[in-house]
Amino acid sequence: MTPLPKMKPGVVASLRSAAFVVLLATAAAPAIADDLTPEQQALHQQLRDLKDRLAAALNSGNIDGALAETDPNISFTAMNNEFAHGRDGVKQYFEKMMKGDNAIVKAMTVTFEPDQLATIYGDDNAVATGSSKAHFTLSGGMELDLDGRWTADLVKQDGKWALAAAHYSVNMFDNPLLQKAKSLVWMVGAGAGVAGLIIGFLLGRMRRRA
Amino acid sequence: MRLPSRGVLALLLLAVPMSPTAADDAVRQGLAPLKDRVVTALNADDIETLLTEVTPEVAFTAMNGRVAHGRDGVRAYFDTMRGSIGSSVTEYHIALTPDGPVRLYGGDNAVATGDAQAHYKFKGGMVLDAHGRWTADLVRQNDRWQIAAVHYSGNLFDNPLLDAARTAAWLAGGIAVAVGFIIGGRWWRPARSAST
Repeated sequence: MTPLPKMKPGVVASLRSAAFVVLLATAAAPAIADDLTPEQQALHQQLRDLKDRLAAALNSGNIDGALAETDPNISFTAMNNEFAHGRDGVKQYFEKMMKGDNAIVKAMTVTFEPDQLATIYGDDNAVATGSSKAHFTLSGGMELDLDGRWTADLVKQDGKWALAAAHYSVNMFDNPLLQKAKSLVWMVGAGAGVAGLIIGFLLGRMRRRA
Repeated sequence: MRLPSRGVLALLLLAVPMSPTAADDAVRQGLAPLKDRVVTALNADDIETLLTEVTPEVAFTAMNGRVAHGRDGVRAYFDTMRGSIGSSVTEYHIALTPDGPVRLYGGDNAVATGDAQAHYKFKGGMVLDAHGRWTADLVRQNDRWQIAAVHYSGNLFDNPLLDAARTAAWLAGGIAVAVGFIIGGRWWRPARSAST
């Protein structure tokens, strides 16, 4: 092995300083989950707790419990692109979908999985995104499993985090409804083909007899 | 009594703080050009300009359920889309219509929602007009508003793809009936006599 060239003491000291700076810089690298300060950890825990309370309320059909986690001025966009504004608007939307004689959804369970730690802006605003698995039992008895995506904007007011905006959607180009519609093309085609064969066969037979 | 001069009156007026509504209106007016710049950049396919309007940590969720984090992620998303469908799209235009006034939280956070109407024209002449909804979270940093998150989606239950599948089902059904009818009818066609 080639020996290292002998360096002057001043150069060695500079290199040591540089190494120390690099070590410090590494230690101060952008925070990932384990490197958060206790205050940051507490903040993210508050956000996780809010998400858990919200999911628990939704899964138990407790709309008022879910609304308690929202800002009075909340903006909510659902997977049918329906938009609800304010707690009353969101409540009306859920009641229309889940309660009464004309309810579309009989039961629902949903999970929310964040993509990563929420991005914090200032100390009173957070943006979180994630995926979702939802199971719906529709009023007609049909079961529907949907993989969704969500974006949540959270604001801290009077020391409490609340949901200011939520947008929930499902991939428009690949989802169970579209797959069912595509299957329908084949089913209708095959069914109509068989029906055409039978009708043509019978008409041909009648013509021959005549 | 001598009345104060106009200059003093103006100073007094300036010293009176703006009402919250007036201050909010001023913020909203300041936000309107941001939306216009974003639309212009999107319609010009100028992603680099678009990225100057977003925070470095931006979160973008698209209609296809894909999510992009950060400016690099958004750039990569648009590059991917250009690679997959860009070569077949000959014309693209999007218009964004906000629902109403932006909702403000404190002085540095705002939420805007609205409708989007996207128009695509493909090689071969096929046209696709898609209606979407969007939510934008905006933050003010260093006295400049930027987009922190955008979520853009289509209606799961009513969209051009489902319409196309339904139309295809009718077409497939009609064609299958016609073909079945022809085959079934020929089955019983009387055989021609040898003398004719």
